[in-house]
Amino acid sequence: MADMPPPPQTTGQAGHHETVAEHLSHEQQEKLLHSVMNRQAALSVRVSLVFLAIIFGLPLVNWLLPDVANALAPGGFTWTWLLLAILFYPITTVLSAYFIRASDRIETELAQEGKAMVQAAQQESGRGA
Amino acid sequence: MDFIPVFFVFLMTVATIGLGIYATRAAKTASDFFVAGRSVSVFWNASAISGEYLSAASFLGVAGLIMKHGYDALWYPVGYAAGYLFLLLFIAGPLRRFGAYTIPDFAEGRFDSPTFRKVAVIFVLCIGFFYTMPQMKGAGLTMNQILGWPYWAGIAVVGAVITFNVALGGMKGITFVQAFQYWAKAFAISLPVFVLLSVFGGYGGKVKQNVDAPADAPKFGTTTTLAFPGKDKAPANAIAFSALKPSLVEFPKGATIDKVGLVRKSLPGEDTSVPLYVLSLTDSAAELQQLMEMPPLSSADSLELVNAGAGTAIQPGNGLFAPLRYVTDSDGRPVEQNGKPVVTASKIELGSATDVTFREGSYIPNTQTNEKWVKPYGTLTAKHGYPMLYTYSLIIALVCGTAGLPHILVRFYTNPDGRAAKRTTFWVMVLLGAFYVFTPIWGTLGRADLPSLYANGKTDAVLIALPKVLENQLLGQILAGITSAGAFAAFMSTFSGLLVSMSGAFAHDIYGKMLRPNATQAQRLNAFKVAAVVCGVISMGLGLLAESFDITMLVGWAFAIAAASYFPLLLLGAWWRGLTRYGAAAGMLLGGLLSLGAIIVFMMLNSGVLVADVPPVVRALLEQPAIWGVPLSIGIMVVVSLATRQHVPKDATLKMLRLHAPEEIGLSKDYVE
Repeated sequence: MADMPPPPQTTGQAGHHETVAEHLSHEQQEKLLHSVMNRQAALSVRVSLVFLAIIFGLPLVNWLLPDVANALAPGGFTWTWLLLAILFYPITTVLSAYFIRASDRIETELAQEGKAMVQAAQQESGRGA
Repeated sequence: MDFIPVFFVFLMTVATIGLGIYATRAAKTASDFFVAGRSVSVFWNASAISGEYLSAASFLGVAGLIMKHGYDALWYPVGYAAGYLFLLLFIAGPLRRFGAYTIPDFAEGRFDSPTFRKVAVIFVLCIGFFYTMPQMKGAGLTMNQILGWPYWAGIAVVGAVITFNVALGGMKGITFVQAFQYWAKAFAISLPVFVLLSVFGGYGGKVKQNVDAPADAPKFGTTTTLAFPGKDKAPANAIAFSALKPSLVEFPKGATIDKVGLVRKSLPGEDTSVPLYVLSLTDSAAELQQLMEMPPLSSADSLELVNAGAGTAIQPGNGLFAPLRYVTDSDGRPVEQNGKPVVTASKIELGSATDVTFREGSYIPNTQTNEKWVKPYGTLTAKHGYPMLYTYSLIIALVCGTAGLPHILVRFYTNPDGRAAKRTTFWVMVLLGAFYVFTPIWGTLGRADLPSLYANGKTDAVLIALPKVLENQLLGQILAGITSAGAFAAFMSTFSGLLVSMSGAFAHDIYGKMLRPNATQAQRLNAFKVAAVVCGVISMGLGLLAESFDITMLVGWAFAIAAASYFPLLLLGAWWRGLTRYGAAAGMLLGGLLSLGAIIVFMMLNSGVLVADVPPVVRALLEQPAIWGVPLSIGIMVVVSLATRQHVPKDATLKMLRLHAPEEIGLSKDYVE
């Protein structure tokens, strides 16, 4: 960050950000990061595993069970065509909608925890000074 | 009535310029130019990202690929859309939170290394120009095909209009235009489908035709004369005759044969003689009929057949007769597969441009049987004999490549915060899905109702050609006009995104960070405008050079580099604290360059520039390098980072917090104020 030229139109907020981070000790930063990253990562990995199971599983089904994959489905499609050409899109939409909602919930909780932590640190450093 | 498509394209061009000027009135500050003032709402931003992403390759190419390869090509739209799920899950939120404007910003800010910025800038420009060339070529070709303009004219119009818009209004100037262009494209790909389905019959029924007659293939409904190019336009000069029935074609204009061969690639030891004869078509119809019904391997007695080979000149009015032949091994025994003898037909490559007439009811050359089209592991993925490997590598390339395209990633900085970035990505997936779900319908309708496009390799034109088949000529021309305008919107929106990304790299990274770190806002803004014009002119020049290049090849290069360089960088950079600048740079450079190298070696092997005995599995891995390139890049990043552990940035924890903590905590900071 040292190489950044001073922004000509500092919004005031940017300066505020710098001080916020200074209030947290290294251990507090670590703790906050740990809870932020682990919860988000667990969610992302969970959703991506479902998705990977679908997108990597389908070629496997096509290979191992061709009679099932190529059997006629409603509407004149084969099952594998129906899944890949049509149903794939609503399925990913549902998956990402689930992710958005869960991720939003996590962020709201984290924002509260984080703010509380920063406030506590600010009070502490205020007392110290 | 050919003026109708011209009129629609004209309308689209005028609308693009007009909206650009309208939106530009709001673009004043450098922030407007680089990130549209970060004031773009989720709906407009999602429309703009989708509009930018749906390039010529998506609009014309995907439907054409599905028509050509059938089920196998369904992975393309799926991969293109699925890339955004990975962006959503792992990259969109953190990248926006980090506050960096370009990937080079991220590279430098995350690792405290100005050198890394330089490496990253080079990758942005490489991917940008590789991706620009096919857009330009698509514009030139499409305008040539549908409107008869010379090749350079389409490039000049698209190039000039977009360079004008970008130089005038930057990111803010194009955001609204791109959003409008998404809706234009979505309308253009969907509305004609509903009309065509109501005339030609249902989607499922058309797929089922292929399931019901697996051993059959599309036939000419009427006697059809098609124009073929000469060997200067190879491989479009090739005619691979059907292996279902003997074929008879005539040449109203005469022709020379440049090369002859067999449709089926011969294995070592097999008989490679080519069954191909020239005959005079003045012979009686009864005899010709008899010839067509001849069983394979029998010789013709009554007609005078002349063996045809490379160099044969065919006189106007002469026919070319391509019978079938059993494949035999070195001992003359028939080769069997699944208990049935294998049959093949001949394949010719024309020397000069000529017209070729195919008779009513004859099988269309250059396409596969219905079974191979509708079932997985057909002509695309099974060509090297390792269909599973090819499929997985293709999926990885498309998903990781999409998630690493720099001109898409800069768009995430136009979101007000990380949550908005995630919501935007979600809506992008919905909008892209709503678009891509129509592409297989076009491919399926094309195979059922305009299969003659297979013969001379014009499947890419299915969106524009198919509506013209309608009996109602006026309606057909109007629908073709709508799809032509959609195609034009596709070239323009993708090119405008690329131009903003490349101009940003020059003005923000090279000028603003390396050459003149103390430049004022006004100077940076001017640098952006100059860079836009320079990049626009370079792009037009590259477009002219790209006429002989293969579009999918260039897009493949861009995706291969993005998948094995930027995707691992962003994924590990956002989620692994221990990544060092050395690890990231080594993985990015080696992964990106080796993948690119592999594709170039494959192209050279394929075109015969490089002659080597390469096993098919290696060929598959060279053509689709993602399956080893992405893990290799990630692996190098991890190993080198662990070896250079002392170089993990001191404030890595704070950096990671900036990437992941919600904005409300107050740890984020924007690079472009």
